[in-house]
Amino acid sequence: MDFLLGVSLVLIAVGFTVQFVPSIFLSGSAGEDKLGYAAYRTSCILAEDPGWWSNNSENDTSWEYHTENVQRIGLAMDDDIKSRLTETPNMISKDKLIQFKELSRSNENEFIRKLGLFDSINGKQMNYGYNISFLRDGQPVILNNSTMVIGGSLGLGQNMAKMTRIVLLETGNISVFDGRYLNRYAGNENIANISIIGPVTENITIQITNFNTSGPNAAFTSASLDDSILLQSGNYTIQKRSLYGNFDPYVSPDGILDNDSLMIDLNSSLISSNTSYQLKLTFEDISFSGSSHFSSYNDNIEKRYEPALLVVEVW
Amino acid sequence: MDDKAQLQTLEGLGAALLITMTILFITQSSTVMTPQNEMMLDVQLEQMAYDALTLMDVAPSYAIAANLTECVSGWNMEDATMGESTLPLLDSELSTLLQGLLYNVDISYVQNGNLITNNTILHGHPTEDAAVARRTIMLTNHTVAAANGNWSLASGLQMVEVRLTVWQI
Amino acid sequence: MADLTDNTSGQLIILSGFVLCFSLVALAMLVNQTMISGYHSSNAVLEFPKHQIRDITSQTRESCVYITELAIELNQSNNKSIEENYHLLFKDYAEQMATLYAGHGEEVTLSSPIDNGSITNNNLNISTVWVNITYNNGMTYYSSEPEIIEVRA
Repeated sequence: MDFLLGVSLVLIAVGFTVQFVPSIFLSGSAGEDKLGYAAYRTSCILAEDPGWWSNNSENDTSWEYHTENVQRIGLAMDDDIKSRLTETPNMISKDKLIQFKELSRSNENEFIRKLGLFDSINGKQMNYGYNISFLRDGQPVILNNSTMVIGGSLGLGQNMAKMTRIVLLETGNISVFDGRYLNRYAGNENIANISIIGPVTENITIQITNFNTSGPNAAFTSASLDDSILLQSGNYTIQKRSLYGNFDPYVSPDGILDNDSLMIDLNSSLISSNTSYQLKLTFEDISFSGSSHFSSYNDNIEKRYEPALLVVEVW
Repeated sequence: MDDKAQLQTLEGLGAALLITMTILFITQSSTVMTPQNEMMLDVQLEQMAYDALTLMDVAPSYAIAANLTECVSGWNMEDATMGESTLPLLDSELSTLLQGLLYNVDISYVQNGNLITNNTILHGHPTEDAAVARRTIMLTNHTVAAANGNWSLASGLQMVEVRLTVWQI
Repeated sequence: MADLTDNTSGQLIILSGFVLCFSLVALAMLVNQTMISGYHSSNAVLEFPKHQIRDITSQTRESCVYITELAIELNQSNNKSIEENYHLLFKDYAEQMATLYAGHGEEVTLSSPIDNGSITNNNLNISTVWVNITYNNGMTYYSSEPEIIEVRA
């Protein structure tokens, strides 16, 4: 009899707990699912959609230039702004990303509404906590002097849903040259001559793929800008990629093979005035065949994309 | 006078407190350790696999060493053995994109109306909760010649399906 | 009370057994339900074949551009018209795609309708092509009829 009484008491107690403290049970089921959805949806729309803006007369996907009339926020770059979809999902546009960060700072309510980072409970808007970050090698990406981390940080013991996406992030500009056709400096076939028109605001990146090696000691020796020698690490950094590898720091005189790539990052402060600069790259046992006066950095400019992770956390 | 009941009530209260604390502790700590349920992890894994393939297909050629079409065009038409892949370029690029994950890559193509499947990257046997992603690419005489591949194209174009199986260790 | 507890405690034991059973079953069902609802809802995310549909359309867009180029190139060396060459190559492409997707139980049909002006001539060169795309995996049916693809500027 005592036992029966005890069991029924326990049951009543459990019933009361379920009734009055539903959060314990909800967090493990429905609530977590909603968070998972929000994280998944947000990551998809950011990585795969170019966004959309419209006013009474016009509309297209270039919302980054019309931030006051944004309909949908998406970060994927888009060649054809009139079509609503992009052919290049997972490629993140730098301009859109900068505006995205700006919007999150200037009008957070709008930002949350556009991304749908809220839940309606009895008609009342409950905002989710969120953190959207772009990472390279585990570190937040820095664009335009601001870190690409948007949102707050997770409190202790809170339920969180996380979605990680691999994306290609536009980080600046790059000029890619085929080393076999690069123009030589007059009179010396081992020196490549590249002209850069100043001023620039971002670092100059030059990538040279394929080399015409002419001897066993093929290597990069030095770089000079308007005939003054540049200092490695202070003025520029240089990296090498072999056929089956990634870019690693290059130290002269490491050997260079025909199908290697070199990437040279030139500090933007060097190219600050409104003139044309001559960059001379001196090599050993590598010859350049082009015979014009110089190759142009600016004519060859393209957007530079680097692999990065987009991490969306919602709680 | 019997005041045993007082002690029993206190005991009961203590027990109730203990149970509540335990339940609270378990729910809190489990949410810290497993922030997502298992299905969300599956979605995440599949999404990562598709992301890796999509990215390698849409990337401009200078952004990564070679894109998906270029990698597969250079195939020597041989099967992979464990740890010895026949698409080394694709293998090295996937290993940087999918850090901490294991993967296999198969390619399928149609020849004389038959579907042929070959193993090109083999890193082990996938576990039960592995995710699969597929992407179709088009090879042409031009891409094969540029990548020094051994493909012989019957007509002007060859469709190839790249299947990526990803799993966690 | 007294006669109930006298010599009939077996009944009570059985009764308490029942009570325990029911309460356990109720609890188990509660837990199970939350797990099932979680399974269903997140499974729905995986089930919609968004990657497949995107793969087919973007690949078709890319392939049609190349097929057109090749058709124009072949026209110089064989005695077929650009349209004929285009349709032969497109048929080859469609068959290969169908076989590849059939390999994992999905049905893809790609067709380039010949009669209703699927190819727009612009100075005897092809500029826009129409392609009908359908996809079916038994759960989801997708069709784009027609997909209009600009193949030459």
